Amino acid sequence: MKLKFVSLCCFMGLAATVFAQSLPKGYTTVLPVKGLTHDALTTALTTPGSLPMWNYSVTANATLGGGTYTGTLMGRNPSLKAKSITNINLYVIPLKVTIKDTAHGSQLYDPTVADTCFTGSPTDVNLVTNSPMFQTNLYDGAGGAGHAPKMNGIDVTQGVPSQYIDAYVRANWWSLVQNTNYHLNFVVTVLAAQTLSFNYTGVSQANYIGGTDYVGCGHIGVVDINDFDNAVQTLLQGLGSVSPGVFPMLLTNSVVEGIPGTDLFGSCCALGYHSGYFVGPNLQVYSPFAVSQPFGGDVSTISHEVAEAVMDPTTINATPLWGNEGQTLGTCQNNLEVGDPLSPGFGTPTNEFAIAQGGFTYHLQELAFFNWFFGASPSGFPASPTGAGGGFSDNGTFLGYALICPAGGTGPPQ
Amino acid sequence: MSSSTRVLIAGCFLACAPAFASIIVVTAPFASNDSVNWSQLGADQTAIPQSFSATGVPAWAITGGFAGANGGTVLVTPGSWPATPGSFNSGDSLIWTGDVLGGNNGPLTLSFPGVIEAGLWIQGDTAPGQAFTAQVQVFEGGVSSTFTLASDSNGDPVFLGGMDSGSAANITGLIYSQTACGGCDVNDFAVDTLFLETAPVGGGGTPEPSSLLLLGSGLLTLGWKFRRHSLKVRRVL
Repeated sequence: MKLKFVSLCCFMGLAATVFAQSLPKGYTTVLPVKGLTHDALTTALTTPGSLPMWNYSVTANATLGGGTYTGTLMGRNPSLKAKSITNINLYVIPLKVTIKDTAHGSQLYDPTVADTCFTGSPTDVNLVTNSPMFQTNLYDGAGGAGHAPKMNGIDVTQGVPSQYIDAYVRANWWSLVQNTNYHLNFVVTVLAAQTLSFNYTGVSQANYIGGTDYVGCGHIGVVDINDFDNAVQTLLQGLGSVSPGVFPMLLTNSVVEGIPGTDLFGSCCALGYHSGYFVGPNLQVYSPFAVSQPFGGDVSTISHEVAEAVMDPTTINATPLWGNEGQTLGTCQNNLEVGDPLSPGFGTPTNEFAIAQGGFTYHLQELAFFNWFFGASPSGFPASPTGAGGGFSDNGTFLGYALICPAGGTGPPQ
Repeated sequence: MSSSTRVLIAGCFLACAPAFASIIVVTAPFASNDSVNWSQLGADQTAIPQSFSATGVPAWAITGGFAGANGGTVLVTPGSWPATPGSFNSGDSLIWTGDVLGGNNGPLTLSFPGVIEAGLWIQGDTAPGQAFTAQVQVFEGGVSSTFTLASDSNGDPVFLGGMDSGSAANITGLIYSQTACGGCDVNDFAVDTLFLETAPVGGGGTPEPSSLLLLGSGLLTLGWKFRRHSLKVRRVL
């Protein structure tokens, strides 16, 4: 009997070792708009009825090859005389996702109910909308309610309470917008929750249970990213309230995407992505994202995705080759994805913002500046922008600009 | 162009075609007796509806409108638009043709009861070191003349307006636009205070009607020949 008990303990310990694995790293991605050139996308984004956009053309630093790069950004051109407020209408669309698999049957992931994995059990919708992403703070380093850390030692909000991405954009273009009223605000509307279902009957697992399948809280659902994106595009095209003049963000509770497949421990996990599709002559920009405590993030993923949608709405804003930073460890990229080189959890330096708001401490990802990709004082348009504090990211990690990839990485302080 | 140049052109026109009073371009500030300050439309960054009205000091009433889908925005220098001493002075309230959703809604129409002269400073929303070309269509009721004026290479503001050649209070409206804007959309510009001469201002500057009649009759033939060439003086700078 004693022997049996010992054996059972051994089996249970082995089972725990086998099944309760640590989670794979979460990352984010971009799904390029298919089959069209940058010129076509630029035209689409500057067609009346689209989101506010402007075009840049910049010559990279000679150490990065000195090439000329063009692209389209969200908001207003900071080098023009008007330093105005630009509003982006952003729709949060909660997605109630049901995933069926052979091992667990049917599992509902609902961002509109209490998420017990977070302190205070807020709904994921409330967690996001009450966060510094959409509520305002002074980034003056003063501490206390309504205050957030400075960016590279600079009070970039200068007395005007600002959302996080607004503060980042001001810091990014600091030499062009300091002491002005240039702001980029998101006007948030929460739409009615929508439902999506994925039937993976015949697949052993698409639902995973915290404490059994991995070390962590709650369930995680994994959907093949192609299945997910097809379903999201179909959904958006059927919503009369969504048009190219608004930016829909689709919020899930712990539903992540596998590239491809549904295996939590294989080619997983995209916590969010941004993309677009054409509606007549216009481009509809959109971004799904997950709130998932097991991956350590409250609004880290949405801060990453919104920033990238602002700085690379076409998904193909070209840059010199960079890499070996953040989630590009061991690889190179050539797009203006300002979150990727500072994604947390990949062993390279990053310095998230921790901001208390409404009794909850939120975590927002550090973001790279435009001139990290193109080198110090790139020439062209906008003319020679420099970031707050002379930095190349918004919370002190990048003090130099990208090195050409391969080898990649970041150069010495400037 | 200086005020004296403007008066010279006006005088030339009066001499040449007194029987056909028309519109001449104004490219320098003039002695006004009414002005419309846009601060009355709201504080900095206030949205202006597509159609709006305002009142001058002391009393001239004007209406305005934007050609674009939305209205404009009040911007105050220098926080929301760079100040340029002598034209867009620090603290001035401007009408900007842009809106909060990224749209550019020029041209801008300003209408009012007849005045002798009307004009304002205008500046394109250019990138640094780039020029613009402003345009104004000046109305006397259903008749209009159009003038363009290029900025310097820095894109500094230019003064642009119109005057009735006979110094009669016939100017009833202005439509401001751009034909070129370096690095920006032609429908993207800002204007400062509107200056109006609603009645003759200053001593001796405006000829009496009887004097004009005498002068005009003496040069009738010359005026007729001029008319065959053009009923309007159009000066493109």
